[in-house]
Amino acid sequence: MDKKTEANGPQAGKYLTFLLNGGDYGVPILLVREIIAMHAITALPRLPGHVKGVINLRGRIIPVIDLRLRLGMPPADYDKHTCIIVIDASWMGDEEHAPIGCIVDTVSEVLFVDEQQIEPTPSFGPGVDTSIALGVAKHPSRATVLTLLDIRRVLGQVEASLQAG
Amino acid sequence: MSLPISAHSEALAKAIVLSDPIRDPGAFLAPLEAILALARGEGFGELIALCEQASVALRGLEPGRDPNPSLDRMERVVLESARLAEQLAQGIRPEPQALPAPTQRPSESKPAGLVSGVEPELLELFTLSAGENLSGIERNLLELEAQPRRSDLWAELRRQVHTLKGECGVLSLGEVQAVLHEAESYLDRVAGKDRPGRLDPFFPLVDWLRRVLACIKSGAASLPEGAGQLRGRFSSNAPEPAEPAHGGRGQLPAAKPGDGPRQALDPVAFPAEVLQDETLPDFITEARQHLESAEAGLLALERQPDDPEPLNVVFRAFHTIKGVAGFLNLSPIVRLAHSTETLMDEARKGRQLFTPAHIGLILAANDATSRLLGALSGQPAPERSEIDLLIGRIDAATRGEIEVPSPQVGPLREVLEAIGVQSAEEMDSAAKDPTAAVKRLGDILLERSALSLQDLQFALARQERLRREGKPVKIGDLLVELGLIQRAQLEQALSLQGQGSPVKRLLETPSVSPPIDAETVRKMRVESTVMVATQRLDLLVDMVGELVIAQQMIVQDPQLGSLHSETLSRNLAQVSKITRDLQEASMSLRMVTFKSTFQKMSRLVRDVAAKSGKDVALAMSGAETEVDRTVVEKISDPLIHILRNAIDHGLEAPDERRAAGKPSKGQLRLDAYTKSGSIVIEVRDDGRGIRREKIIAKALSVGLISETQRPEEWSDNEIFKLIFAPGFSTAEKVTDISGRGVGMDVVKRNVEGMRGKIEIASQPGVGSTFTLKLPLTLAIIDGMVVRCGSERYVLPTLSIVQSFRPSTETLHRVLSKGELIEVRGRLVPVFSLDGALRDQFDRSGRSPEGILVLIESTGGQVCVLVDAILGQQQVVIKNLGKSLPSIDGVSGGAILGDGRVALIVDVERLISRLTMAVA
Repeated sequence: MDKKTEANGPQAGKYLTFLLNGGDYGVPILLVREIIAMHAITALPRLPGHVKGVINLRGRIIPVIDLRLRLGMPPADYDKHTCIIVIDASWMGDEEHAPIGCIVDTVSEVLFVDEQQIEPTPSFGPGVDTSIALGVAKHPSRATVLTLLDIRRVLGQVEASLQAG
Repeated sequence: MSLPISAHSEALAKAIVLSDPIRDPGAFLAPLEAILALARGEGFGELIALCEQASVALRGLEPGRDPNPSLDRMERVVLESARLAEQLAQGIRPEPQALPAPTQRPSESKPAGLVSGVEPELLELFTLSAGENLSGIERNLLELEAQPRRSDLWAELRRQVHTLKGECGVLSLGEVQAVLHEAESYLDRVAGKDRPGRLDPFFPLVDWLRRVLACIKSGAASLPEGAGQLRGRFSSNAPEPAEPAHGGRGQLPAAKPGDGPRQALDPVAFPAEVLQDETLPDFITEARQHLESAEAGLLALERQPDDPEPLNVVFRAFHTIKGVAGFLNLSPIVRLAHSTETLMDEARKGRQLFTPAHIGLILAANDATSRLLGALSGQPAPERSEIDLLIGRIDAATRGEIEVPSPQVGPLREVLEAIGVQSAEEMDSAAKDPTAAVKRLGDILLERSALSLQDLQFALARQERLRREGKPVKIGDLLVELGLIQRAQLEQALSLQGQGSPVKRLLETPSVSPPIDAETVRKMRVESTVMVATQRLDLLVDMVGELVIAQQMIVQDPQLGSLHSETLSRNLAQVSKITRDLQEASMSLRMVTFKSTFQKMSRLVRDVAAKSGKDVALAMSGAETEVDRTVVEKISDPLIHILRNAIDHGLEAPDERRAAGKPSKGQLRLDAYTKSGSIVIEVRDDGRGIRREKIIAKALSVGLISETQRPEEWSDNEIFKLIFAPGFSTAEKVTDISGRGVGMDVVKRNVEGMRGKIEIASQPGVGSTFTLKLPLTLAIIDGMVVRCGSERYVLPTLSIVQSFRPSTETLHRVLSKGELIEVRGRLVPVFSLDGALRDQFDRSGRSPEGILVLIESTGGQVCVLVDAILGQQQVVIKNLGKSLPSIDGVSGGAILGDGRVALIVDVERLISRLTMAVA
């Protein structure tokens, strides 16, 4: 139970939940700047596949990544449910770095997750990388388990891969 | 008995040097009273009289009155009391003596107190002589403080110290000798240098020596303490500039840490409630503007000393500052501004001749005021004593006493020598008043009987009158004008004046500067402006940008188009027009001119040239060219580097130039202009130029290139570009000004960061030109929107040569992979645009449908194939989100009318990437 209160562990609080390839995921609502519908994306050459390109967000150009591809899931077509979650990634340094768009299948709702509901991510054996998850939560309103995404890690690795590439 | 009088006498002396009798009369009155009391006790009539006179003068002082007569009186008191003190010490009954003649020996001497082991006569001689020496030293010190450049005084001081040292040797006063030896060595070190040494270690030395003498006379067994400390101060004290070298620019003396025993560090402080005043920031900004226009005025005066307008400008600037500062109770600023204003008033009314020395002094006042303003904003404040000293110098200048930088450098000296001014005093007076040199023209004409004395005097009087009226004129011209001589005679006389040309050049108004004078004049007028926080400005510009995009999205909306309403169309067109105008206006808000940058450069050149001992004339043009604010901000550093390099490495020293047949004044040109959508800035010097071989040699030696690359076959441009490589330098010696030329790679990076280009052209022995090409704004570019596949791209118009449809005849396949097109007589490779960006170069199978656009950069030319050209428009360049790395070939994104992002092609990088791939 102490693990929950670790600095890197998932905190209780409000999470924005969304769907990715049939699974439920959540990110802390405080990191979410806004949610927008799919935009026309301008592709950028010579970047890893999950970096789809850039979009115009009210006069500001921000990069967009496809979370499915980033997390190793099979790609899917974008439909009217597909959304872009704009994450405020200012932990990366300055405000300039901040907004990064993440394409998800669809956005569900905002849930309050409290400590009791959080559990550490179980291991699925050596072949599965669970580092992207901070933990899992079992919310009473949900049948399925919510994976609390370590969005910093997800995006941070993206950044690293880009810089190296 | 002698001791107390000495002590008070010294206290008074210190007060004279350090304190302001108006502000702090107590510092003077206390020792004066004490001396007076003692004098009365002893019946020293003369001293009593002097004290009383000084005391009366002191009490009569009010702010605004000249304190100098009182100071003079007090100085006499000091001298007389010191003299008496010595005599008392020797047990001699002093006789009243007339002053000043402190070197007079007292007539009789009786044997003084004994020091063990020394014969009385010897001791007597010693104390007399040493005492005199000491007084002489002290006098010298006081004079040197007021006139630190009197090399004869420094020489005398050294002699005195040396003599004293010798005398101490006679008495075997080893420790004293050691101290004096250090002092002597110190004086040796500072002798002959341009910068005068520091005086502050000497005063404690004198104090100590007096105590030593007193000890000897009173038969003490040991010396007073402090010998070691004094020695340390002399040996570790490197001579620091109390003032800088030639140029007479007169920076403030550095705050002297050695002031310890004399006064604690005492920075200027402002009362707390003033600092809270909410009008303070406005005052500071305004005051800075005034200082700027004053500086511009002073620089203009340097070039055209006769021009009355700048004098007024400078006067008004300080007058205004004084006024507002008075309002706010900022008395240090008020005092400084008041003194400066007074001097300027004298100057502009013609009662004072405004010489380069004056300019230097006022520039120092300008700097000091700026520092005081800085202190108001929280920066470290200057020392009170510094400011007081400066005020003292200004006041002295107002009285007509101004130190002149010794004309040891440059053309002034040669000219003066050429016209026969040889001795140091003559040079000094000629430097103070160059017009005095001109009067010799009159002498020459007199000698040749071309002119009668009366006529000459008449003309001189007329000249003086004209000068007072603000219409200065040269005596030669005036004489010709008045018909007193003929022009041919004038020419002859001028050439007699000394090889004609150097004198002419000195006395004639420099002709090279006109382009900036109009500028400086404009600058001196404080324009009617409103100050806006730049943050607000940027916000406004951003919002207007978004408005434009939103408006375009409406206008281009197909649903609106399907309504086919004329009124709607008309209204939308109106909105479009208004939005466009709004955008232009907001963009122009961000535009500033190069004025302040150029002025900064002007001052920089002056300073760097002075420091490196070179004579440089800077001509500038195009300061009124308008560019985006960000360009101006970012161009400043690169320009500074380039100019420094030009002065430091490019321009030769005057003698080298003369040997090469060039005028000894180096010519530096700074020009700015717009050309086909870019800003061009050129820095031209007529120096020694850049030699290929030197660069190649250096590049080889630092391993930048290797022989196998056959650098001898490279073009000049390619060779010169090596200069920008990090770690490169051809400087023969490291100068502290521009270092090892490390600036150049930074320069290149900065310029390229602004999407600019930098080019060098040079001819050995003739000169070099650095050309900077920058986009007009960093934020907007004019581009052609093209479609390639489903994506749209923007090609900067500047990089486009032409566009055309390819015909199969001119398209050639090479190596079954690449394609070449014949255009304008050359064969140019062809790539599809999106393919090129993706590194997919193989176009096999695709027919040449579409349009070819010929683009070029410094790396060459390339043809890109696009599907269609959609139009030409100005786009705002946006960053692609900083979390993405920069992509070779894409310089940013542009938001088009439909809200979608188009990639802006970085032609330079794309071409270099393509040509690398091809090669």
